Amino acid sequence: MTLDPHLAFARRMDRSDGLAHYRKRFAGAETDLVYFDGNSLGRPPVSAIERVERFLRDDWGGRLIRGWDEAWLQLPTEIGDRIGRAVIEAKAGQTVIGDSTTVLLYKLARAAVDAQLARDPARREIIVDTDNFPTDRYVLDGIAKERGMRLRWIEVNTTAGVTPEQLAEAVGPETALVVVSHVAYRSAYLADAPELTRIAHDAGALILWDLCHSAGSVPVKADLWGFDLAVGCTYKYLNGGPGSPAFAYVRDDLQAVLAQPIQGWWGTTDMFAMGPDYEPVPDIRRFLSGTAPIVGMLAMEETLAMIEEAGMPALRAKSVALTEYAITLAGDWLAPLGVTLASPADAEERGGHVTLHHNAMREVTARLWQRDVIPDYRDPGGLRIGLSPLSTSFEEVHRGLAATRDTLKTVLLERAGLA
Amino acid sequence: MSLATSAPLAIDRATCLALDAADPLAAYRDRFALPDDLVYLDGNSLGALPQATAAHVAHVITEEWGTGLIRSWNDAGWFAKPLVLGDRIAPLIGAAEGEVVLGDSTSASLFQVAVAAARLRPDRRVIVSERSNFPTDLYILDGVQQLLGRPAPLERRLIDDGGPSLDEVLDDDVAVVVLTHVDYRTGRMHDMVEVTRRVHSAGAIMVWDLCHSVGAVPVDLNGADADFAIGCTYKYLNGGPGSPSFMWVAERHHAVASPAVTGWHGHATPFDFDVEYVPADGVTRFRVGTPQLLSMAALEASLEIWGEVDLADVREKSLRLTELFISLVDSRLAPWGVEVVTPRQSAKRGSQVALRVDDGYAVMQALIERGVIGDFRAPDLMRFGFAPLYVSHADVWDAIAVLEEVLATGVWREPRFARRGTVT
Ligand SMILES: Cc1ncc(COP(=O)(O)O)c(C=O)c1O
Ligand SMILES: Cc1ncc(COP(=O)(O)O)c(C=O)c1O
Repeated sequence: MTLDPHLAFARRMDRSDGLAHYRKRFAGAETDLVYFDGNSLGRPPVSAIERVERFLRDDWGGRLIRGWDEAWLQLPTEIGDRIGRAVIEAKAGQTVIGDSTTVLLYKLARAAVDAQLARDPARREIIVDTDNFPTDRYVLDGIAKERGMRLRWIEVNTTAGVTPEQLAEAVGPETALVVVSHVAYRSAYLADAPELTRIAHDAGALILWDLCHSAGSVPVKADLWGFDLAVGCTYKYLNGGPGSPAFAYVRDDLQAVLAQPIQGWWGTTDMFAMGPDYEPVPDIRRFLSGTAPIVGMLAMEETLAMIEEAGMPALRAKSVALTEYAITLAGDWLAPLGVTLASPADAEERGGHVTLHHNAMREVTARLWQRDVIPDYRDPGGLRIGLSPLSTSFEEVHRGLAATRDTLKTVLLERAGLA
Repeated sequence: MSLATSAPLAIDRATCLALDAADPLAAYRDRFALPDDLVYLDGNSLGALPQATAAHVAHVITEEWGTGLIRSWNDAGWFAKPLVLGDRIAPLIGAAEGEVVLGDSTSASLFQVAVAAARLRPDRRVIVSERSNFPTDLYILDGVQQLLGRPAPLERRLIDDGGPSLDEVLDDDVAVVVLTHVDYRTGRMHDMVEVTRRVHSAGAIMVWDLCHSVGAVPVDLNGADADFAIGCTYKYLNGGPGSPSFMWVAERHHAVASPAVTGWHGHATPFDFDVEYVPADGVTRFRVGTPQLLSMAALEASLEIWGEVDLADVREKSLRLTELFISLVDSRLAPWGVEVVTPRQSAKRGSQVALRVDDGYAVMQALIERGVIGDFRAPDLMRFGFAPLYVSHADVWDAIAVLEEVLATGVWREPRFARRGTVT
């Protein structure tokens, strides 16, 4: 029996993969489980387990309240700067970690529209696309209501995302803020960030980037591309653990002019002066509110160390190779079963995951989970395959797509009454 | 029992050890990993690490996160965790099941509930708080005033011990009153029932900050008929640095409350990814984004302990400790002009004692160097918190002895003790 050429290819790729050695630094990677959901919740770095344990025992347990002054107080900006440097190419002092992604989205979006309305009361519109992640849409809907603004929707195809043409048509003198996901959570469409940023700026609008599905997967050049504001998750490709605090980027020249609405003591000039009036510090810390959740901040540092070492270009190269490979397998094995690609075919337009469409995918996903193959499902009919470049091997992709093929066949046979 | 009136001068360390031997909560000390050489009187700022926490967090990381991965949102109950743990906090604050949910930081949670509270009184234009309130509360309220009072911010009125009083500021323009039940600096405790009653008779909404109450004193929010509350879990509840805050919303407001931040976890059907925002029923609508499960794991471990203890025992011991401390300050530290700022009347006191002394900052640093950890709050207060689960009567004795030595020798005058860290 000859070896499946796809498997032979996978093994060759794994052998020549310069990042392959990182895989064993993630817990569970040694098992047969196929993990296609690192874009939703990344695997734990092995060293994170020890790190958290040490923190609990020595830092919280041993240093107690002294830990704040000795180290923890600086973690939001220290880790923020690491993300800035290694992940989104932002120079120091512009990135911070703090609350959940949604809370940070709220803070930055409110800060942006408040500043715009103060400058020009005619700027009453927030532009967002119909397929942006729900929390982005809900938060903006809430802000529009409370500030007497309008949402202007860009209708997007769920297999793609916001194009420059669409944004150019939507912006105008009434636009206060544009909110776009850099990589669309459903399709993985990779937006043209520099171009969309330019279009927003030309119209006098601010732009807020949601980097949840790009951070740690797709290179981001926040400074070079002229970003105003960005937020991103750390529990996906940065492996921070469930609900680990999100990051926010605010370009340095905007920091002093933006006032965020959840005005807490962590954002003041002297937090232990404890006066009755809020005096925001004129730097990135003003975007913080309350006491930072330290235990949840530690794990991501382990991944950041790997990214610092390997560099985002290498991660992106592997990510592209993984998605290309998944698409090739899907073309050979799944297309004949009626599966279509619900992500951009061109790697230049695609982030780190691939969505495959078939009306049986909800059922297929449920059965794959039973077999320890873990993708996720996104309506309508989307099997979403997240391929985290540090922890995923080509052979894992092969195994997962073979299982998908077999499962889909079974489901289809059953539906036809043949099984 | 009242040590202050029984024989204050007769107390010695042996008396304290005897009190410890008779203490029904004494065994809990072993449930905490406290360094042996410390007298830790700052559990009101950051609670001690429970012994069981590390193993539970390791379990959550290796099993639930590492092995369960994304499946744990259902299989390990992650999605429900903010409500499940909320239900475990409920009995500590007199809340019913389904009324408490965990959120982000206390500051963010106060924003969330204060906006909802003010929106229940859209025709009123005043928010009342207290000058001595914890600063983040005042700052957050300032943000709420700006948000809801356009074009001109809502008016702020601050009550103060030196006036004006609550009755003086309450009128039919007051929408919301936000007070911290136990004052973070002095430990003075408000009469929750009476204050809430007065606020309600003015037609306003009552929001309580329970940061220094939960796990320190029994609280009965429903008994007091309050409207909203928030609180920290990293102080007396031992959830660890920055562990998630909680929000309490009285059931009668659930259907109409409109919180500030409308995130996907507050949606009626978050995984349908609907276009329209439809708020969930119940306190769930106060949820925002993905909850911080690892911080919650640490809290979950400590809530095991809180599920066992009787708050009446906690309160009784807390008062014994604070009375002992106060009586020893009176009997031994008077020569150095040490003043007890905390109310001496036990009904008005939480679980901490604040002392005013010249150069309190340096004195506190000298104490810390000697293994007695309290903290300092500007402008001039040394603060000592007595977490009844792990502070002993002998700790109180030892703390006073060290404080006496620091004051008597004047060692605190050494310049290094005057250097300020960021955190005081
Ligand atoms: C009364 C009160 N409210 C709020 C806070 C803290 O808020 P956060 O957890 O958002 O820092 C504290 C912390 O000491 C407090 O004492
Ligand atoms: C694009 C995008 N934004 C935001 C979020 C999540 O926000 P939060 O962390 O507040 O739940 C996600 C999570 O999947 C996402 O994909």
